[in-house]
Amino acid sequence: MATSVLVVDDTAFMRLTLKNLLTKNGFSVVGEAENGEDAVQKYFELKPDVVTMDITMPKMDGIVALKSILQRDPSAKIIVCSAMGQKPLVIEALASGAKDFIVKPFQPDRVVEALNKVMSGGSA
Amino acid sequence: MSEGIEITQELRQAFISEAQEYVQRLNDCLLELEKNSGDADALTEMFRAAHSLKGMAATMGLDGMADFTHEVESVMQAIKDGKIALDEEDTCLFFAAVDAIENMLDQFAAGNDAPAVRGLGCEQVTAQLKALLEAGTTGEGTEAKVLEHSSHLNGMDHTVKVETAKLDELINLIGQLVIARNRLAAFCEAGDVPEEALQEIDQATSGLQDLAMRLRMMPIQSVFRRFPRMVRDVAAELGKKVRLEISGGDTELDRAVVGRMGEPLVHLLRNAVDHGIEPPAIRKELGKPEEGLVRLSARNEGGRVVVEVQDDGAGIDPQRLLEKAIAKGVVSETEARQLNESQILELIFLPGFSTKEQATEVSGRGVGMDIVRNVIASMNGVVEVDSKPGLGTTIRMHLPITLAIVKAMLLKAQEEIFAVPLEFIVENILLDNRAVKSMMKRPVMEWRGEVLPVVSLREAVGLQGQCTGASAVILQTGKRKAVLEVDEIVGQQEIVMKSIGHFLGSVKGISGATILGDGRVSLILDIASLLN
Repeated sequence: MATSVLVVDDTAFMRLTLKNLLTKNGFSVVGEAENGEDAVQKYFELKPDVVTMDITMPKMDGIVALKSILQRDPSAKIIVCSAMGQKPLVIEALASGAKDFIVKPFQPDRVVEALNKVMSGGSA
Repeated sequence: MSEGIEITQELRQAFISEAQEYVQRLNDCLLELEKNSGDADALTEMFRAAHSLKGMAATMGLDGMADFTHEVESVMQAIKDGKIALDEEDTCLFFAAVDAIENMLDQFAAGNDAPAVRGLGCEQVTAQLKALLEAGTTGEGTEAKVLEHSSHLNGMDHTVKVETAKLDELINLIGQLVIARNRLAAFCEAGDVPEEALQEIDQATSGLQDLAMRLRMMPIQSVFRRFPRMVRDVAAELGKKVRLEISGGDTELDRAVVGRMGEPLVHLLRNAVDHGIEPPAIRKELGKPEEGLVRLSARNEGGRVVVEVQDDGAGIDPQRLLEKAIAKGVVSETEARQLNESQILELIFLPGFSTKEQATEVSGRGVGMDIVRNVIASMNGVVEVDSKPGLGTTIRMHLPITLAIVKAMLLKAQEEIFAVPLEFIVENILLDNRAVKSMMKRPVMEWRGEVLPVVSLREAVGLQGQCTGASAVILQTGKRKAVLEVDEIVGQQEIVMKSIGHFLGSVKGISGATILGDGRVSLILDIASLLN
């Protein structure tokens, strides 16, 4: 069965980009969320295999959402997405339990690699 | 930069429309910040919008745009962190920066795949942004954690975007259904169809129609939201102080109506600021607050939507207006003497009319009130003006909520049936020929204490002879009323408005056509032009 993914990003354009990219590479995007709150709720609703989590978002940012999900489900596999220049936040995310990170603008190979690695149990 | 990401047409469209949303949001935030430079919500929101735009632009491979928004984001960051204080000059710089982003977006939308920062003094904007940043920061990491806050500017909720074409198709189908139902009703009257069958179809059709209409509705806010920025710019250009108050932005209208309101509102708001609001020094002399007030509002009123532009400026002097009209040959002196005050004010809607001697850069010479009236009239709407010299002017537009399906009264002249949208009809009356008097060689009639002109439907549509029978309807558009004499009042029906086609162009007195239950075509009367 295809790996199920929850895509979290506050811009519809980015969600669409990721969704196209993932679908083309054999993943199944089962849900989308546009802020941290939404992401936490959808995570427990949909129980996806992997979450791609943007950092800068309204209402609740990606780091808070990540911590909140991991607190209730320590086995959650979350990959954070960051823009360039967000190094301190990426480090914080990894320290809080993110499995890997991808940097915008996305490079398809890197995205696919990160997801596959996370699914096979590896970590950054 | 975006090697491998396939830029589909869909992605391109999604990018453009969402990026435009962010540009709008940046403008909104700046306006907030201009009022209160310490507005933390606006700062955060602005930072995030710039950040999102940067990420999106980078993904699309628009490096020029990504780099530029990155500069904006960095400065926002520094301001948010308290490293730089935002002063008035900076706000102007940011406005220029947002314009630059919008400009790049326009270039991209127009087919330029590598839009660059150019023109509009954008190079300076970049340089100034950089200087600002260097002055205020030590140049470390450019992003801090965004605090949780209620984001009133974030308007994305649970909605689905649907192509307008599909929606139109749906409306069209429902239109056909409505016509079929009306036909069925005709059979039913003849006793050929059981009434229950009709009732069920009737309910389902009405429900569908109502729903489809609501799908087409959108809040007028989408047009209103760009005006704070515009009014600010126009006021700044003219050295005036103007506060724009907007209310009723959530009032919903058919998207076709909303889409066409932009142009007339631009004219009206520019006029209000340019010709209405006086310069601060003069206002002070007059004992008015230096800051002028322009109100833009929308509200539901009796099945229609009223949109108003109101200013507390100089108002229109009817005497000067009249002199001007005579000088320009718009009316003759004899005609002029017969006009009452509100009729004089309506002269501003005549083509090419302007009371302002000096053409200003902002409003140009033709104030464009005729354009406003034409656009509104083309949607079956009515525009009115109210003005008190010294106190200000109000322009009021009455608009239909939808253009697609309307309740109409069917009126007969000879064997032809004409439709009049119900909102124009005040009352059906029995016409007593003895009550019709002649005034200045025109037939008039007294109705509830008012003297109204009497118009014959046959004459209005160019049919021969006098109307027989004793039926008439009282018509009203805005403040204007008239008695329309007909051969027979057939009754009410929901009609589907269809255009009469491009090859006929616009026919005076006719605003469209519809198909009746018996399959006949009925023309829809354009009441506004009929009463002029």
